[in-house]
Amino acid sequence: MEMIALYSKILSQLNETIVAMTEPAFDALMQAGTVEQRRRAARELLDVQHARLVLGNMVLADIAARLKENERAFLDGIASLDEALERLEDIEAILGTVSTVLKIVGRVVTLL
Amino acid sequence: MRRLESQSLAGAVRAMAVVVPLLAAGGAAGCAARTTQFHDFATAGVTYVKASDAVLEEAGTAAIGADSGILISARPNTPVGERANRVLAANKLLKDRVAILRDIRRHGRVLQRYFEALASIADSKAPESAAKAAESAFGALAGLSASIKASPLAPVVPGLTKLIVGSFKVRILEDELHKRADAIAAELALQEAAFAKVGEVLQTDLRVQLNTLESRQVVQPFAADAALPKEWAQVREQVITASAASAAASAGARAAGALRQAFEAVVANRFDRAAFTSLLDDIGEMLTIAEQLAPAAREGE
Repeated sequence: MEMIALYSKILSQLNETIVAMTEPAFDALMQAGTVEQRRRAARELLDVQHARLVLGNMVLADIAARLKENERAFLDGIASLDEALERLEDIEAILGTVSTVLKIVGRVVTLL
Repeated sequence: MRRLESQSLAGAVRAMAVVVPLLAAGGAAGCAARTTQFHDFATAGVTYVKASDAVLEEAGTAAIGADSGILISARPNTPVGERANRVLAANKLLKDRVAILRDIRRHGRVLQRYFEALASIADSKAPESAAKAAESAFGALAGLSASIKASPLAPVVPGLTKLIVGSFKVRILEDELHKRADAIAAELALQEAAFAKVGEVLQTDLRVQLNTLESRQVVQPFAADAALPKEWAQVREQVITASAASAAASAGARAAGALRQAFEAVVANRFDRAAFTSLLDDIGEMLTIAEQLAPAAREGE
């Protein structure tokens, strides 16, 4: 399995874990525990969140990099479309088309 | 013989005068339908990028809000000597997170510019301008020649010109689709995967914010001996109603998926108005949810 896919899977598990660890019912249980139990729970909560942030950044950075790899094609596309639009709306080209149509019509009319 | 030739030519011209407008009308309808598909796809693309930008912005805010909620919850049970290191490490990771999300948003702006460029071609008024120019030019020629004025082809000229220029427009869009099809397909698949993950993380962050808020401001004050704060019932209501919004953060991936399917439909020349409306609904849901998340995220801080 690709590393980033593994990170992504672990991140999903950590997401579920952090939601469970912050549930009000879990918190109420922690509040009722001994000082040592509360300290341990707080440390584990912070460690899970730290791991979530680290893995989340790795997974999102990988996505950002892959999107960037694709970017050249779109920049080329923008340049090509801008150029095509200029050509399409070029008044001389439009008049050239009109003139061609009129020449054809003129020939047909002359033949009548 | 010459008279016969002239008569048959005259017949041909009369036939052209009947057939050409029909062909022009049919061709123009085909061109217009295809152009509409490109226009709708490009419009949906621009709307999607704007909605995704709002979701990405909320993803950053929610990540910070969730982390603050966790730090506040854990603080009383964290040794004093460890606290500064904990918050500094989290700050660094969150700054990195915001920078990564900013990169994804910046990429979105490139994608938006691309969709806008596509829409500019689809919306170009060049065929109409050309038709008007042809009409005026024909009118001017008709003033010089009685035979041109009387020609049955007179009404055909503007329509034919519009069709020719309109077909240039469709060709540009088809060529672009052909050149960029792989990149667009890859991009939309990536967007779908990206927003599945962004949505999952966002949903978690929002859930964590609401959980810590509920513990700190609803459950703990209620369980304590002290009098309840005045705003206790109001905060409780906000926490409970905001929970519904957090369950819908996966709308981004759904909207990206719908845009990918729309692209496949454009390629296959079967992207119709019903599909366009449905796509806009999916994107609209994404935007609505981003808007719902904004106040929910702020409440958690």
